[in-house]
Amino acid sequence: MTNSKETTAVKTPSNLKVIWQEFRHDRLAMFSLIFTIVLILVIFVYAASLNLEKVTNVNIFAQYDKPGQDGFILGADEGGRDGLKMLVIGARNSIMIGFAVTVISSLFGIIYGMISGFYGGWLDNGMMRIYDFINILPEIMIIIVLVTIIPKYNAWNFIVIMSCFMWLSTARLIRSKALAESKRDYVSASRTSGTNDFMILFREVLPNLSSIIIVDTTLSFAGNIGIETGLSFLGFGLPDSTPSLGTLISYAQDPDVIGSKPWVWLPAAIVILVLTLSISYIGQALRRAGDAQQRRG
Amino acid sequence: MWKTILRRIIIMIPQIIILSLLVFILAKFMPGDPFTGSITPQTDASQLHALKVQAGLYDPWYTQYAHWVVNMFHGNFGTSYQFKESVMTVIGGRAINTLWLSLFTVILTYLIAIPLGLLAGRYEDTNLDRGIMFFNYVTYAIPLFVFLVLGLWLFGYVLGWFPSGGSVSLSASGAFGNILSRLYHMILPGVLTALLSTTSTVQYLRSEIVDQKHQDMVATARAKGVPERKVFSRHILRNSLLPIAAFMGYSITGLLGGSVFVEQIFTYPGMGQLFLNSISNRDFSVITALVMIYGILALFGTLLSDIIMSIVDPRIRIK
Repeated sequence: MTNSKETTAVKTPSNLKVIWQEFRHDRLAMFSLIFTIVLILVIFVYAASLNLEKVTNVNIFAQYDKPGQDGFILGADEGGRDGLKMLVIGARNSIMIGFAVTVISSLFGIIYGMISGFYGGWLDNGMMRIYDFINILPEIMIIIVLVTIIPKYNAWNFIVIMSCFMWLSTARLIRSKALAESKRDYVSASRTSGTNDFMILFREVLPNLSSIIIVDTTLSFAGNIGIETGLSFLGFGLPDSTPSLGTLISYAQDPDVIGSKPWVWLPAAIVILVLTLSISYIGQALRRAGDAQQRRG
Repeated sequence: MWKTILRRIIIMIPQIIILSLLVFILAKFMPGDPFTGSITPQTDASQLHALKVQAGLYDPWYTQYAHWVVNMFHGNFGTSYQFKESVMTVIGGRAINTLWLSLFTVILTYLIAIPLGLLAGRYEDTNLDRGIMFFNYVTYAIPLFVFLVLGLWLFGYVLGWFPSGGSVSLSASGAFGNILSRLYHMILPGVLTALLSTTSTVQYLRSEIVDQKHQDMVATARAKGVPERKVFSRHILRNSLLPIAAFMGYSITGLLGGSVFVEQIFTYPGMGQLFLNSISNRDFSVITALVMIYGILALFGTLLSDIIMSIVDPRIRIK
């Protein structure tokens, strides 16, 4: 019996296979994965079938309709808008903004971290000083100030402003890994044989960081959804014309709404909870898959 | 060690200069000037112009910047349009509230995080450990504001156990009653924020203890026959707990950032709420001062942490 095990252990399983194994052995991770995919699909398909202007039209006669009344499954808000449709559009916007911010900030963070860690020396020192400085800045306040003083503010500006601050943790993580990789033999071997730095960085070092990058990107996706909705909640995120899940929860700042009309904001809060919890759980399972000591599968 | 501390302080000087430049640039982009609030239909345009010249608003930017920095060192951040009072007076009244709430939150965070981290590390790979790690994943994933809103709704409105806003109730009488009422108002926001702030401390403490457990000195202590409880309290804890104390300074940035949400949701009259209030009233002198203060507090927080770390962990000093 030991014999057959040894022969199978000789072949290193591919990354994808390891991840698959991990998800198969962790029911909750599998559930989160399927659930997230289905939820996002449903939100996008349903939102695509809706007409934004029709949904956001104010209908004063339906103000604060209870769930089930007048055919509103999740009731209606202050403007008599359908709670379910607003929820779906808000969720789609939040997911899209979170995704865009994650792509931009992760890309920048990966490149910044790889260059800083790979070259080391004074370049690394200088880049880390910049990192340290931005890290200390009160980011939430500066984002809010920027959002208020930028003329012609729109969703794209918001994505760029948020990305300016969200690349930090990625850069830090990637730098430490790139630093370790740059000391490995394969890098020196490649350099001796005349490969240029660009090729070494992106063709040889990058693939070795891929599992870390996947984990980090998944976790920052969940985090960015949280930050975007938080800023929209305060009123400094997505512009008024683009409702976000945070905008929907911000109705809860009215003492009457939070106490006696929970259907207006509670569904949005639950959607955020479910989304961030399940995406983070996928990230955690991916992290376990990437670390042989923690694997459950 | 003094050399490390000195070097660390010298690094901070350019950081403060860049921070002040950044805030100054932001302030210049904000519409309005110190006289915007006092303009009335009766204001004479030429007089206003003379006032602006006198205040140096037409000077080149570097003169204005120098002027601004000198004023700041004197504690003069200008006048609030909204309250018609000096910015320092306006902020001073709120700062004390934020200070108390933050202090309360930090103490609670450690009270929750340290036992959890210790238990998870000591009983590694048991169900207890898995439970704590699951709790840790939940606190990591949930956005602070959603947790606060849900907590306020559940405990403030549905169950009605805690007040839903403010920092002190009007009916509180006497010094003692006043303090009690303040504490009562801080419990819900404090506990909720503290629960979500435990993540990194629990994680750090757990992995530190797991590491320490496999060190030679611990094996030696066990071999000598030191009882397991003493191994933990004397050999492992001492090494693992010290860095935790040093993290307090780093957590200032997070706490202050969180204060914007906490104070807005619980209508708690602190600096975070003042900030949002000033933003919506376009009270830019207050905003500038608050961003600067928050930045400087965070700078000093990290300075403090770095110094404590260098005292606690000699390896950092060698570099």
